[in-house]
Amino acid sequence: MRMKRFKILSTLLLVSFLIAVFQSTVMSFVEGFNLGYGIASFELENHVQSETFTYLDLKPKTDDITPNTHNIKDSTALFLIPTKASVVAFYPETHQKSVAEIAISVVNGLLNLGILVCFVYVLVIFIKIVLSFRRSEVFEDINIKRINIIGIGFLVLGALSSAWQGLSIFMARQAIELTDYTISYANIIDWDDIVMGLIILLMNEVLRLATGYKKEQDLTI
Amino acid sequence: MSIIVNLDVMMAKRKMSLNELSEKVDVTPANLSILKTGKAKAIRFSTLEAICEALDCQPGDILEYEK
Repeated sequence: MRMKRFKILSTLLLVSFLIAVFQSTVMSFVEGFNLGYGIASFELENHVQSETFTYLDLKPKTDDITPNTHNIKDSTALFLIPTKASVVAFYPETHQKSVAEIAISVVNGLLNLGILVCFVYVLVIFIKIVLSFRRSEVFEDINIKRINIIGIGFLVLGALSSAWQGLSIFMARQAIELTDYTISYANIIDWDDIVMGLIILLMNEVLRLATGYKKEQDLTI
Repeated sequence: MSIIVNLDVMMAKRKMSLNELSEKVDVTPANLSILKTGKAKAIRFSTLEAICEALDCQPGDILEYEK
């Protein structure tokens, strides 16, 4: 009965995880692709080049809140505070980037690649664990190693994401200045991934202890 | 490990095979083999009692402490 519940939960976890990955990566990719296509078309038509700055937290420059949009339904005034906003900057075709800007862009690209590789690796390991759990292989050393890798993977993801976020904000602040908003450094540390990684590592230690007890139990005659 | 299992000695004295003892004490030959080769981490009192009864001996005849 206990293993049945365990297998059902493992299956639910796997399905939820795959849906979450689909929603957060595949759909974002499709939306990003469409946006990129639109920007490229605009560039070609207007003979400009663009640079996109994503995941920017924008804070109003002043404490004096003046409504900047309105509600179409009842025409009431609204004040928009964009978080995780994207800004597309358009430059003339002749615009040249400095060496420092190119270097920062390359580092940012490498960080992005690192995040992608780390994410895919964690994903593969996670699927292996859940499949192993569904075969009732719970107290296995290989699973403890895999869960450890996932925990460390989340910590690495958190560190890489934070570095990427910090560098993106730095690049954006160097290139653009908005009239009503400042680009904030407030949320650059990706605590979600870091806390998740630490929780996974802690839970893994519980599993490691349980596996040790099980081994002793198996060798009790 | 300083606890030595002398199960094989007692089995030889009683001229009893592993399978025979296994049937008498209701423990699998594989588990008895683990016990005999000293790989076991612990032994239950119920198992020890059954072995002592089957081999007609004392726990001290099977287990020995060596410094």
